[in-house]
Amino acid sequence: MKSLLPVILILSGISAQSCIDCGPQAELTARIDFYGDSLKFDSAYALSAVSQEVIRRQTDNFTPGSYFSISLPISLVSDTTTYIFRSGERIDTLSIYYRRIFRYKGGCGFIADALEPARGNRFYSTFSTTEVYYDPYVLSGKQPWTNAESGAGISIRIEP
Amino acid sequence: MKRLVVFIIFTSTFLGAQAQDTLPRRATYIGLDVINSLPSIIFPKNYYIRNAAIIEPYYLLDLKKPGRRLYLGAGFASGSTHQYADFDPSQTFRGGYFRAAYEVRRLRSTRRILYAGYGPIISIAGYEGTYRFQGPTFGDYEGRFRETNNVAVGVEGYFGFDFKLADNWLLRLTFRNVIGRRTNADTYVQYFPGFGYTPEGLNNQFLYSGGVSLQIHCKIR
Repeated sequence: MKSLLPVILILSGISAQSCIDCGPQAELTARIDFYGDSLKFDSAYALSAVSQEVIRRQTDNFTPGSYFSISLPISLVSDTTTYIFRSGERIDTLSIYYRRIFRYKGGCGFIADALEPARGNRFYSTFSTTEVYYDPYVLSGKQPWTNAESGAGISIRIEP
Repeated sequence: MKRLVVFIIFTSTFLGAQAQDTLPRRATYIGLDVINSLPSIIFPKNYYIRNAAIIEPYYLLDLKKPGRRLYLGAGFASGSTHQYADFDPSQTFRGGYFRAAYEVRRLRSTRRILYAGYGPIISIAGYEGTYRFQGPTFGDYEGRFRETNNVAVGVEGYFGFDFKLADNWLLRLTFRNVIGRRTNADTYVQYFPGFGYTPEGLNNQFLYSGGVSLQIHCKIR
């Protein structure tokens, strides 16, 4: 029984570690879903970005269709991020607002999260329909051992 | 802070009461911890703290009852911890602490004495550091964390051996365990002065640590 105790302690330690959601612990991304009569985007880029590489990699493979989805990084150094979408002559602007949270979480170290702004605008958009949903990037509480989930984060639904 | 004042009043009245009673001649020692900061300076890459200055003076006073002793210690620690992971960065710490204990000893041989004791410990510390989130698209975010005047109160239990080096010199090897609770636990503290390394978890509020201390004492009375 005595020799079993360390094994139990180690196993419970491992399971306790795996069940905590730490979130991305990196630059966060917002998922953007385009619905309806979608445009053929030529390019998308973010304002005040130091590199457009992550965005370009996704927009290079734009295929027009009734639905597509991309994940665009949001800024960790500002509470707002603005994207410009180009489709031929048409130029659309989308700004999203959020509240950044950096804090310490046991088992993870420091984590990055973004939540709905306390007040003020949630977005500014030139698209005909825009909806912004805020889910935490880091889920609180214990996650099931077998099917651990991560927070969905910000997701945006757009109809051009 | 209130707790500290009560503690100082308590210990000073206790010492004052002892000083008045001069009839039996009881031994008094002053000592210094000699190994506490050495591993952090010799092995800065492998030990959990780096280049830390830890100074711990002690005062031992034989009580009237035979084989009983009062043990008072102060301490100062300043240094930094290792970086554990990208999001568990190095912490620079600085703090002071006081401990007192009631000690019982048993003679094992004329040169080696077993003792055990327990008592309160209070520590005031601050620590700070920076962490960084890589932002390839918009630039990195660098955050700072800082906690000042963090107070921890705890209980320490220990046992160990006294080795008589010479007539007036004593080498004390102590194995100690300490538990405590601290205020303002926003971040996990990797090293709390006076308490030492604490495993992660327990809501960052509770401190638990164990360790070895080697002290040299000199008889002054």
